[in-house]
Amino acid sequence: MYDDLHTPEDHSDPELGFQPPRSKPSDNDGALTHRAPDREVPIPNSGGTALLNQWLDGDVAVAVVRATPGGNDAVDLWTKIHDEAETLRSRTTPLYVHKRIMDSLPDDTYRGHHPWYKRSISMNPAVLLVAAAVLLGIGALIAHAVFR
Amino acid sequence: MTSATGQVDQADLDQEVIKRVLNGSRDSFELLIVRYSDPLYRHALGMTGSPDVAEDILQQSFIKAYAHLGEVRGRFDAWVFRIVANACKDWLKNIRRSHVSYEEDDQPSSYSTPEEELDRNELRTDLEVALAALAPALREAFVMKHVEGRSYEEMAELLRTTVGALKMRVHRAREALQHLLEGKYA
Repeated sequence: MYDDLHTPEDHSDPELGFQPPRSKPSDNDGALTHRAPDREVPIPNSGGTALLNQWLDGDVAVAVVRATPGGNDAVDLWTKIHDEAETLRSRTTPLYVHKRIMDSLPDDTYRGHHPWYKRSISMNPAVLLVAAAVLLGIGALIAHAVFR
Repeated sequence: MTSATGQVDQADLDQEVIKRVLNGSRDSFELLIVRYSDPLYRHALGMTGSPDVAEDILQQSFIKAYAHLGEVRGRFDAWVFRIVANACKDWLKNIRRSHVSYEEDDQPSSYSTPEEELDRNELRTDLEVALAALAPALREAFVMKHVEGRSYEEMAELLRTTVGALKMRVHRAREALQHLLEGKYA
């Protein structure tokens, strides 16, 4: 397993909060921190935890983890957690939330965003009748002005 | 998981919808809500543990997305995901919760027996309490990997960080959860 140990946010970051107890850093760990910042270096984990992570990332078979001390318990625990995560993964947004969001959107955010002559209009019989009436009226006015 | 071509097609469709909304078709925005609300809701639910809070975060995030729709550069889904993800982290920073509220949930149960449902509810509660002990960045990485089932590459693209950094966060989150839960369940 390889990883970037030099990502600043993942090191001395108090925001990362609760951490499980770790063994004291060995000389080997210290040597890792002196490597070039952009190199990928192995994650300094204990063997069991490293294998567990590899299994959960799909890199090793479950039998390998089960063969380690405490491996069976860890696999059972993560199988339960995985089942619970699967349940959450099937969750969908309640339908009323869609309507609630649409109802709370402001009406006029993008109205007038473009000039009226660039907006699309939808045609229906009422619009056609109004348009015809307007054109007829304009035509009548022009005819009246010309032939008076 | 969506293929690269699928994502490009989807991104083109999203751009078309965005254009329509910006031209004044407010109702077209519902297409984006319907298309993306489920993964965003799951993220908010996984991050907060509360359906009510997840719904509020989703609503506020889509309102914000609507108001700033003209600023979308690149993929809409990644852009709106970051709005939701930031809202969740802000909520976690402001309200440190110690209790779950999945019981507020009214979605139907899928368990075969009442005993199984009780066991699973207990695990769910313990898992939520354990997740609440994690820093927002670790919880976010764990939820994206295990609840949403995303690949590290997809997570890196959405969160604009490296695969290595995310692996580290997921591994730390797992170690912390293992430590918190193994006494009871292992």
